[in-house]
Order: sequence, then structure tokens, then C-alpha cells
Amino acid sequence: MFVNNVVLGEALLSAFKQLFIHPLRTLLTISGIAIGIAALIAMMGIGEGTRQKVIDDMERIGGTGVISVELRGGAMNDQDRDNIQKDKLTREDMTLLSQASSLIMSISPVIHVPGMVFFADLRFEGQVYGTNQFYGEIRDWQVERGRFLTRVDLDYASNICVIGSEVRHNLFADQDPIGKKIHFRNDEFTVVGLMVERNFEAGRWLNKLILLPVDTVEKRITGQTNYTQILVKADKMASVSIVRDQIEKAIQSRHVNPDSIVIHSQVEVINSLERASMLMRFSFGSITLIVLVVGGIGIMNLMLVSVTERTREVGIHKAVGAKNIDIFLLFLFEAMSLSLLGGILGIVSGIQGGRFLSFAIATYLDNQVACIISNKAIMLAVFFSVFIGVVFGLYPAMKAANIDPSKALSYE
Amino acid sequence: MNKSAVIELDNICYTYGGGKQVFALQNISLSIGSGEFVAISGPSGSGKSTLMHILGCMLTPTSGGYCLLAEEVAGRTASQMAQIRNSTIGFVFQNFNLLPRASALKNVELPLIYAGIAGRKRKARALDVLTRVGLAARVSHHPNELSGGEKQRVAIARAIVSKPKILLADEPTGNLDRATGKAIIAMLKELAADGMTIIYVSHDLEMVAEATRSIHIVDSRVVGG
Repeated sequence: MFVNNVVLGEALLSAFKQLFIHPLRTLLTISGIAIGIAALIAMMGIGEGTRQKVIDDMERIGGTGVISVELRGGAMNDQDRDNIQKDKLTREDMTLLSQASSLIMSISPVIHVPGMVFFADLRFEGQVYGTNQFYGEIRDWQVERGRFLTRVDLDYASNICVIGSEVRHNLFADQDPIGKKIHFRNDEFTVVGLMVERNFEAGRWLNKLILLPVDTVEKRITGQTNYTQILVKADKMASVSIVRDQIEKAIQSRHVNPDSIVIHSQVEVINSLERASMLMRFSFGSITLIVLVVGGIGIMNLMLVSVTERTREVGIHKAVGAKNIDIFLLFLFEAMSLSLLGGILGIVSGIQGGRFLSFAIATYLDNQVACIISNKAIMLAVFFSVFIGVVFGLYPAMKAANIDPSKALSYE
Repeated sequence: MNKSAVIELDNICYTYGGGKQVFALQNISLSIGSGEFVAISGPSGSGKSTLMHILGCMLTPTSGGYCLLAEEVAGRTASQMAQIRNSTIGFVFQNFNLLPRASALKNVELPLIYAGIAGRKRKARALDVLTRVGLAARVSHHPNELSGGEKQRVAIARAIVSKPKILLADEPTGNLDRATGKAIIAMLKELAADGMTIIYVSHDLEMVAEATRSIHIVDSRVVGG
């Protein structure tokens, strides 16, 4: 079966012209495809925007290269609980972990201490963390004014602290906090540094932090070494899984009950996020597919009507020499151009809809989610719309191709 | 077999209906030579149109042999039949059968599209035949802007644009007034004089009288000619 290029060109042209003969009919027919494709594009855009935002936020609080080693919170039974309570994260663990891998960039212990901080007659319920000089680097958090904790602060267990922006607003309002003394647990700590405000979703909690040298917390407050967590930063993203495995081995070698220690890395968070967004895309994709099938049925319906209406025309074409394949292509191209037009309309309104959704999320949910339309999404949309046209145009086109010219010319 | 015959029918039958078969054509044997100007006449329902459709390769006879230009038509594929319709046969209908949404020029270009002729060459050839049928001034008009006679002339132009050996006209004057009808027959006669084999159907005796040969069909059989 061979179709000459002239016939091919004319069939394409005719398919395109056919769209504009009954504009309203065309518009109604393609609306199903357009809605399906628009939903696909908008949801893919917002989905991708959400994913990107979460990953960006994670990277901004110390990159995705951070691994956290911590004691498991809720144990199963009393015996477990006893074991865990006996279990501690100590200086030995710190040393062990820092030697566990050559791919570690920095390592930082953290002790959470609950309680209220005071300045003059003001108080603030923040989070007091005992940590070391690397915490800022691990969380990718810079000093705005003053300085961060130093090795010397730790060695001397000095009574100093570094505070987040929210602590400053609550205790000092517009005053310069540097040099002021805040009260915590019957002790005084001089503010030496103010950190930059974190104004993105996943980093805001940092603004409530009051950071003390970890030795100061051990010696003056808790009286013992029991880290809440140890943060480890790998030298680069790609080493995270390796470092994590090495840490796990090291932990298992030292702890009686390895289950009492949990190791988190954001790679896992990102992986499960990817899985969740895959799942979302999959379930949304199936709904879209249903809409597209409904749209396809609409196209098939119109094409069947069109074949019947144009029976005589098909007869004329055949009488002057059109082959079955020529007629087949004429009608298939028409179905394809219908669904492609629907697809294009869908892409345009999908992009617009996605932007609107993004705007609505910003306005009503106070959350910045961009609508990111990838070329992949657009290509997928074009592919799907053409595909639907082919699938649902196949039967009507075959029906048209098989019209008997002799009968068609006497058709009323 | 007549050596100069372009059309040779041997015992052609055409039946329709499943169990109780109805004959539309019964044992038709005909030989039509090159350049003949033949009229087929007969009452309504006698099978004239069926015969024309078989001659035009739009219908395959139930039985019998059809030699067109000394080649058997039976057993050809649908696409070979389309090829024959495109290159060897021109068809003119009683109700014109022009594409309503295409201009006269586009209608005439249609067979050339299926012959694979493109662009300027196609347009030039279509203009040429439209001039020949006297419609040079009406090329961009759509069928609904043309009179019956003009429509039929566009149809003739379309039928002859691919220079077929045979022109088949099924009651070409049926929807036209007498004067216009006569002009159409005169045009066909002129084409016959140029060597085209022309077969036309008419039940108007005056039109039939113009032919150099007439074939009469009654009740699915040839009774004279």
C-alpha cells in the first residue's frame, strides 16, 4: 500500500479545513480531550512544583547530604524501654562516627534542652540546643551579626549563646541583642551571635533556636553526656548512602541493641517523597486517562456522524480514483487533528490553570508552590492527544475507507 | 474478440439479494470500439445505472467477463480498480456530484490529486480543461453559485482532466433543460470526435438520436443495438 505525497498533503490540508466548517461542533467535541489534557498539565505542573519546593527547602536546611543519628523515641515494651534508656549517644559515639567514614565533611552533636528563656521581664519558649561549631555549616545557616560558636567556647564551656531571629524579636524587639544576657535555668548566657532569618517553610523552626556550646550544656545544665542526636554531613550528595552504611556498621558494633538507634537521611525522605509523588501521579494519571477516553469517545462519535454525512463525498473521491487507504487517511487525519487541537487547547488552559492554582495556593494556603511545566509534560500531552485521535479515529476511518462507491453515489 | 474494442462484456450478470436473487443485469454481452459515441436507453429500473457502474469499475459483476482495453477487470484489487477509475475512465453523473465546499477549479483538480500531480502543474491542467468547456470565467465559483449546465460542464471537465480513454455519463442531461442538455450532448460528441470513447445513458429519444449507436435495455437485458 503506497500513498503518494500529494494525496498525503491534501488529506492533511482537508483535515485541517474540516475543523472550521462546524466550529461549535468542533469545539464541543474537543472539549473532553482539552479538559483531560488541561488537568494532566496543571496537576503535573503543581506536582512538580511541590516536589521541587520540598527538595529545595530540604537543601536549604543543610542540604540533602545530612544524616541524623538519634535515639529511638517510643519503644515496644518495658524491656526495650529499659535498654533504650540505658543506651546513650556519647562522646565515644561521636569519635566512632567521625572515624567511620572518610567521606564525612563535618559532624555535630545536639542536645535538646526544654525550658523557657528570659530577658528582663520578657520570656520566650524556644528550643535550646547544645551543639558544636559545625552546626551552622551543617544546617547551611549563616550568621547575620556577631559570631557563631567556636572551638574555644566549647573548650572553656563558656556561658554564651547564638540566637535565631524569632528569639531576637520576642526578647529584644528592635534592640541589638549582641552582648545582652539572657536567662535560662538559673544561669546567664551572653548573646554573641544572631543568625540569618530562615523564611521558607521547612526552615522556619530554626528561627526559634538558642544555640549553646555543647560542653556548657553538659557541665552546667544536664550534668552528663547524652546527645539527642548526632548530625553527620557527607562531603557530597552522592556519598550519602555510602556514609550512611558505614555509620550503620559503626553503630551496630558499639550498641547492644542496634534497634535503639535510628538513622535518618534526607535521601530517604526524598526517595519516599518521590515514591509518594509517583503514586499521586499514577492515581491522577488514571483519572486523566478516563477523561481522555471519554473525550476520545466524543471524537469517535463525531467522526462516525461525519462519515455518514459525507458518504456521497467519499463516493465522489472514490469515483475519481481515491483508494481505500487515501480515504482512510483523510478521516484518520481529521480525527487526529481534532484531538491534537483539543490537546493544544488543553495545554494552553492547563498552563493557565496551573498558574491559577499556584496563585490560589499562595493566596489561601499561604504557601509558595510554583507551577513547573516541563517539556516532558508538554510532549506527553501532545503524544496522548494524538494517540487518542488515532485510537478513536481508527474505526470511523476504516468505515469510511470501506464505503462502496457505487452505493455511496446513489446515497441520499 | 474485436481488436479495436475498448470495452468487451461477455455474459455479464449482476444480482443482489441473498436467498432469492434478483437480477439487475442478465447475460449482457457488448463490444464497444474506440471512439464510439454510444447511447444506452431503457426504462427506469432496467439496469442502465448498474451497467454504467460496472463499466466504470465501481461495481464488480457477479459473473461474466469484462475486458477493458484488452485486460480482464475481474479479480483486480480495490486499489487497482481505483487506479483504473483514476486514469482510464471519466464519470459524469445526473446530479453532477461536485464537492459542495470546493471551487470549480478544486473539483476539477480532484482526480489529478489522486494521480499524484502537484501544485502549479495540477492547477494549469485543471484551468486548461475548464477553459475547454467554456468556464474560464467561473473557476473560483462554488457549485451553489453555478447553473445546472455550468455544474455539468465542471463535471465534464473533471471527468476528462486526467485524459481518460473512456467517458461514462449516467443521464448527464437528466437534471437540465432541453437546450442545456443538447449543449452538453454536443460537447460529448465533440470529445468523441477527438477519439474518446463515450457512453451515455438517456431515456430522452432526442438525446439518444444524437448517438452513432444506441443500446436499448429492458428488464436487465439488451434488446437492441
